[in-house]
Amino acid sequence: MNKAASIPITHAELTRHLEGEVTVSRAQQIDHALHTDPVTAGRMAELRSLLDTLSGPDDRVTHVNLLPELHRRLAQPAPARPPLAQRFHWPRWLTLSALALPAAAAAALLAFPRQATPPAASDLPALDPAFRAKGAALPADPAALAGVQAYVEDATGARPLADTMCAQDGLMFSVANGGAQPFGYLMVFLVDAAHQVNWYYPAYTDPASNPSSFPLPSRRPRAELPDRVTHDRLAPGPATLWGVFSHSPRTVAQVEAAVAQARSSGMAALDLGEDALIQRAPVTVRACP
Amino acid sequence: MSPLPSNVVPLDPHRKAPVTTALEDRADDDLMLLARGGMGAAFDVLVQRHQGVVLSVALRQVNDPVLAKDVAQNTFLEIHRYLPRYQPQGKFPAFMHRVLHMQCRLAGRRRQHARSAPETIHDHMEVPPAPEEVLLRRERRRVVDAALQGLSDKLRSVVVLRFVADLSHQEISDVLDIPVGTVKSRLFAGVEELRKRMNGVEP
Repeated sequence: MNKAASIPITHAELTRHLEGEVTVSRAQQIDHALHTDPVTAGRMAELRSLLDTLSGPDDRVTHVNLLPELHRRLAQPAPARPPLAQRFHWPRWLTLSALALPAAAAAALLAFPRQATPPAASDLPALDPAFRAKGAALPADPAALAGVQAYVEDATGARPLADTMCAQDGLMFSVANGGAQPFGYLMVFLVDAAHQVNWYYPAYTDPASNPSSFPLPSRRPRAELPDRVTHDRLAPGPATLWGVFSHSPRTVAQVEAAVAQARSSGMAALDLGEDALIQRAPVTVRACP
Repeated sequence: MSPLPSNVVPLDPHRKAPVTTALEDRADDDLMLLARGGMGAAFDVLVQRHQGVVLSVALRQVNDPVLAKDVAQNTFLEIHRYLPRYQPQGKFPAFMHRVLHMQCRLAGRRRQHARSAPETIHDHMEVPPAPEEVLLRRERRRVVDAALQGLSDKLRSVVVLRFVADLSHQEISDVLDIPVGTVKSRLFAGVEELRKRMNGVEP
């Protein structure tokens, strides 16, 4: 045994050893001492017992279920806050200035009204800029910061989907999802010339299932969706690629019902609730050799 | 309507496309996103998954079962309020423990202002009758808890996050907003002081 091995192994060093904070050679010496030196082994047993007690289950809380009380408190309305005047005392001129700002904002909104609900599909241009953006720059208007870009892959790599695609093309997607309240969910599907709904997101591999919207991964301004998806049964002819952003998830069955209803009523719009932002782009599917 | 055909080509061959993943099998971030979208059951799964560790950490920090339960409730309420702003980055445990740490500090301050006679767990919760071995374990836990309460807040927080919450040094650094080196030094000092207190040696 060398000189380093003869250095006494303290409790503190044993703690460092357990945390992987000693050198490899010292760790080997400690491991050796644990097998040959009763004092070191006893110290380690004492330390492990302490840490086991600390990390072990505590029967004072193992039977506690927080959910019932949590549900009750979540169901309660938020407590009303006292009026501003009771919470703060500030000069009258400052209060008037503070009130004037929202008033001016309200006047501006009246002068330039915005749609209170997301636009229906029929209101969108045939080639929605957010859906079909050829450039990389994001739209300047935060309200338009949600959109899907479709890509096809060829020998040179991925390129934005143009107005036509081959029936066997695999599609990939990137998503823009910014703004003050980014959307939480997305669905992407293509309605082909035979009026079949072909799903890209969410994945729909089991006809007996009814999957929900794809949860958007983050609030990053742009994100790539993970898979390249190919359909081999796209009917050649005019088709429409749809993107449905929403704050709450929708199901495949809901969307397919909305598609069927829109078709039977001769409407181009999909009725998927007020919190859904629906985007679409026409594309021609060709039967390529 | 046609389901997805069999020739789907995933970009990552190891990643299976989510089709009908049960809530219990979903990652914390997924559950937060689903809860943000209005799926209450997703938040319930999140609570059930983490309430054990949240209660344990709260109990070690405030040393009062009733107060610990309040702290745990408030932690999940705060997380629920934060849903619209939550950014999924694969760091939910660190986020949750940061909220929990704040709630423990707030509870400690409130207790200083209105200290009342501590209630025992038996006043509020049914504890099954314990055989001798369990009683011995409880007694040992009581001694460890008493020693833990003798540590400073700084040392105790690091020791609890490491050994009760099972966080890594880096995660503790994120939760407490201190360098990893400081986490390590506090951790080793805390364990050493804890051991000495357990042995009746005044550190």
